[in-house]
Amino acid sequence: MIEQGALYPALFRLVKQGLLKASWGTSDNNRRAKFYELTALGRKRLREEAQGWNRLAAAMGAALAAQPEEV
Amino acid sequence: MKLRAYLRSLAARFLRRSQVEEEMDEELQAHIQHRADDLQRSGVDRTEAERRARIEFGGHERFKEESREALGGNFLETLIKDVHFSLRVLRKSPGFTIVAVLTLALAIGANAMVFSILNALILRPLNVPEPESLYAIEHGSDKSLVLSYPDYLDLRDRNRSFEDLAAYNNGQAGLDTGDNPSRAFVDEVTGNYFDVFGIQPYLGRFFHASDEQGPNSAPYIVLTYAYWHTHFHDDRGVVGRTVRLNKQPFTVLGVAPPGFHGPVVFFGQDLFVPIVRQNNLNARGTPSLLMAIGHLKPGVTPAQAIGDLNSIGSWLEKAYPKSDREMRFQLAHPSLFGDAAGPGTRAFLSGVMLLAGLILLAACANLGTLFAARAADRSREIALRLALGASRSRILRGLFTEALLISLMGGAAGLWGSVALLGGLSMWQPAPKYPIHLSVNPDANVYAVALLLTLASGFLFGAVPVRQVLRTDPYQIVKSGSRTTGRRRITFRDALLVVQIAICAVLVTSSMVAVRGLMRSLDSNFGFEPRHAMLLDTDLSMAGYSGDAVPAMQRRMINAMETIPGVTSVGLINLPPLAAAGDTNDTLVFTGETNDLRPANAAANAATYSISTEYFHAAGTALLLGRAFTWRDDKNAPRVAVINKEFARKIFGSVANTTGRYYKIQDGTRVQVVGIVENGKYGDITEDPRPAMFFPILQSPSNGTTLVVRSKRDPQQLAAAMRAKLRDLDRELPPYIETWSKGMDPILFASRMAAISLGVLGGMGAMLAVTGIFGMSAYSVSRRLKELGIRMALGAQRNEVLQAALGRALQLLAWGSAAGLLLGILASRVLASIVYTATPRDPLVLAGVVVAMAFVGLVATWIPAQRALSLDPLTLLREE
Repeated sequence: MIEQGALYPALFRLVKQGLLKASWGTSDNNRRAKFYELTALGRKRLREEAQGWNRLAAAMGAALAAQPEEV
Repeated sequence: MKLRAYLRSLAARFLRRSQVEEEMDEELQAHIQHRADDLQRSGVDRTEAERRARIEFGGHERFKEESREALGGNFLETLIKDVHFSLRVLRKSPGFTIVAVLTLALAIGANAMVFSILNALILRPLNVPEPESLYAIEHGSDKSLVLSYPDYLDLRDRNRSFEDLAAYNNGQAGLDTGDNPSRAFVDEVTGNYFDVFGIQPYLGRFFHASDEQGPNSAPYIVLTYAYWHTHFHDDRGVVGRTVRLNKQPFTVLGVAPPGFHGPVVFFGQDLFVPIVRQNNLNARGTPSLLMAIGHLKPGVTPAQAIGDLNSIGSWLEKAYPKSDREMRFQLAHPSLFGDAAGPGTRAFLSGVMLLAGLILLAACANLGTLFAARAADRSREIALRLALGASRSRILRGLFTEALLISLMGGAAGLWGSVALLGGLSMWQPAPKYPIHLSVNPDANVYAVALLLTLASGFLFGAVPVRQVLRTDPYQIVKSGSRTTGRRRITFRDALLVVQIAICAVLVTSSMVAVRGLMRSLDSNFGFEPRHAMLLDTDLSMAGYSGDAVPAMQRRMINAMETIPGVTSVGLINLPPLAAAGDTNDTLVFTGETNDLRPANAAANAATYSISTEYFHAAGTALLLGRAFTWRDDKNAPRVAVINKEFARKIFGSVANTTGRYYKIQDGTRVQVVGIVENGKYGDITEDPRPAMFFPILQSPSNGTTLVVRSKRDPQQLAAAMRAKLRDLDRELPPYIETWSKGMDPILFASRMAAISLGVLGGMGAMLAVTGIFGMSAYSVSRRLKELGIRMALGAQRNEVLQAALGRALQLLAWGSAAGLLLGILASRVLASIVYTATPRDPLVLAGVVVAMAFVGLVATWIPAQRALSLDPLTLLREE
């Protein structure tokens, strides 16, 4: 099981790579909280990674759906 | 740009570290609080909600650490943490740390010291503008630097290669500044001297070529900065003051800049006077100049300059066949007296530097072995850390941090020690009679080299355990408890140890050869007996004596010394043999039948001395045949001489029937031989037997005066009595009094330095070998305790156990020693050129090396052997 804290090193890494930017604000339950949003670079990267993932998923789906005689 | 941004963010993060830390803390806390809020809303009470939120969040500290790493740029933080950790580890094993630091301190200290001397004498250029184009002129097959003044003038005026040519001679004079007259070391220099060096005065002004207007001109003195500082206490009012030099008034013109002491690096004179005031300058063939120096013109190569000088030389040989011979010139750098001392010093210092480098290598090998052994002992710890997720690079970084910490501590300690020793060496006067001054204080170069060596050695021995760590398999080790890698026959560590022992044996061999050589040269026959004899050295011109007053005063001095109780005999000589390296007055001699007295027809070149009647008796020189002089051998009597055996053999063919026969000296005078004495050493301890002749002082007067006072009294009391007697005769004549053995120090300086430095290096080499073998055998015993216990339990004898425990170490020792001895013998051939009678084929040396290495082995394996023998197999087997 992945602990919740493991999120933070990943977040910081993305901030450092310039894919995320963070700012302090106030949450719904009136606590100070840090808000993360994608930067332009981050959005571009997300698109690329999403495409890559879709390609992979499509390929996997095709492979799994394939009938024996088609191989 | 990237780097700058990185550095800025690094700096910012470093400075705002607490702020970043706080923010991170707040963010993580906020996460937990938010989660707790959610849980509370679903009906859990607050305390329980927070507890659960924390559990779900996981290891708070661990994620903080990882986040910090993710933010990056914490190289410095990691470094500081590594250093803290390494210090803690090192503090836990103080014995290891101290041994390692000391080993390195010795090795790096030795290197810093040797390099500092090398730097001061050879690498550092002279402290004058454009030192690289400054050359001294040497001539003849013996590469002599000395020149006569007229020859110098011809060279100066006729050459087209030098910008200008200056020359100087050194000597001593009585300097009277108002109170007690004292001896001062004076460089008599040509008027253009300071201009040739291109230096500016620190105070006042210098004299120039235009000041030279004949023997009575330019009564000027320029002080060296050091002498002004010590004797005039930085008094700026000294310029323009009149002082008396050899009883004549001189005006202090100025002070030379700090650090300037002429062209020879190890010489420290007190003052400079114009040479033009010397009265007997015009004799061609009398070497009245020590050295001629000048800057080559821009664009003129040394080879062109030599060609230019040689054409003047052949003209000189033709024009003055009686005096000028071997006028073939060479150029040399003046800083070590040209080729007289340069190549030998250079070779010796480079050799010692090489040995010091070997010591450092041996120390690194030693520490590398120690580190490898330590890493093996810590394999469990390392395996555990690897298993817990530490990266190998992180562990290696830790090990390197440890190695570098040790090397930095060792380097700092070594440098500190060598700076202290070098300070002492700079103050030291190896021969107080001469202004020898070794300014060997370290400069930036030395510190840079020391730092470089320190870091390099840290990385070198830190790298030894790297492979071991990289190969560590945590699973295997945690499971089985110890490494189970197969033993190879010859490991890297074994090879290191053999190399190290070989280096040590080389050092021990060469130091023994040098020490033996020195001992033998001290025992050899000099042709006089330096023990129980005092020398009183002075120059009568310092108190203004000249002409007939000189021998009269000398006779009064002899008579006065003879009245001191306990004195058996007193002799006088113009300059005692072996007074300074290579320093003899040589005269060409011809057979009695030669009429054409050209240098080419000379039968020999004989060392020439002027002595009093009792000299041979006082010096302990054996008179073999004939008689010594009497006071009746004066100016009006026929010229007579006492010659040595070699002279008789060379000129007359045999020793027998030589007395009463005649030979000629260069001015055509026929000299009758009245006595023959044993051969001796005159210029140098290493010289072959050479002809020497002695003239009576009344026939060959000299201002240079050395009284040889033979007595068995305590030297200090005797010296005081001699000083008092001389004061009674003339209180303005400053003497230098020392025992004859001390008087020979300058001549033994080179071989003594060789013996001392090699002895020290040899000792260090032996120490390193001991710690190296000790480390290895102790480690091998501790690793094989279990095996040894089983062997003993199965009934192995003591010697079998020892064989098993230490056999390998001793085998390596034997191999290393044999290789080292062989190399040492080869290296000692070089030594033979410096240390008289140094020969490696001396059975005592060979035996000494073998005994020393065996002793080293015994000392090093004693404790491990005791440990192996005192094993109790029962306890051991129960425990393991």
